[in-house]
Amino acid sequence: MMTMPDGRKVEISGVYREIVRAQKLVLTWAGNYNNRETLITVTFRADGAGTVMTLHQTGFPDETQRDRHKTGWTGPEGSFAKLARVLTTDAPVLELKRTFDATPEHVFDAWMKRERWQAWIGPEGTNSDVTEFEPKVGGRYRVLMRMSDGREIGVTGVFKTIDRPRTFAMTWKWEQGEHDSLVTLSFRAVGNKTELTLRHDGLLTEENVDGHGKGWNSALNKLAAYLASGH
Amino acid sequence: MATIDTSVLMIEVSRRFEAPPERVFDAWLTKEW
Repeated sequence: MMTMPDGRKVEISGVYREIVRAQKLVLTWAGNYNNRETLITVTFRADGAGTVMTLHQTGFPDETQRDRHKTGWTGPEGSFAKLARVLTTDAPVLELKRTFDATPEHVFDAWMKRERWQAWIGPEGTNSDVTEFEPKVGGRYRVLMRMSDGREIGVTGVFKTIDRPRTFAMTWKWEQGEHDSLVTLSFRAVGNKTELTLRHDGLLTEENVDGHGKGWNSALNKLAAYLASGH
Repeated sequence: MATIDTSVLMIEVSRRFEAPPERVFDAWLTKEW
């Protein structure tokens, strides 16, 4: 049941015809105002850490109905705007803060210099190689982490923002995983120290947030030790 | 007799969302929006 902007209550009914998770959805759609069934195909395409969703709807009896539906999807108070709010409100987000005894430039460079990043990135007990590194907006990176049990796990991404020494952002994708997420780092001078804020968006579930929280906390322990050793 | 050009009686709209495909897709099945 939907309440329209003019207060009318409209009942929508339909049937799912095809469901391919994260890729495609096909469903019928009919309102009790005319009981005319339309067919909706929605496709989902990863775009960095986001998604481009395309909706295709056919079967309208006339242009008036078509235009009303289009406004219903894309208007200022339309369904797409509501969906954007739902996705923003409900998104589980990981945010960590850590203070390091070093300047923002020095802490920033521990991420954005290949040899320095390689020296500490990854949870405690891992050793990593940064096998690809293009420190520019749109540039790619790849980190290969060797776990204590011998397993190797790769993570790849693209640098989206670089503003030394204030902030940078990169997409983050485990090579065996399904989707990109987004890691944003902010560096703030606090006296002679630096407060680092790490925000990781797009982790989908609270369980995934917890797992990445443990991993990042452990990696930041390594970063603290690396900086404290004079590097 | 008037004819209707059914090729124009369709919608195709796209929008980018700041969430991965799995979350946007799941919203269609699980969220009221």
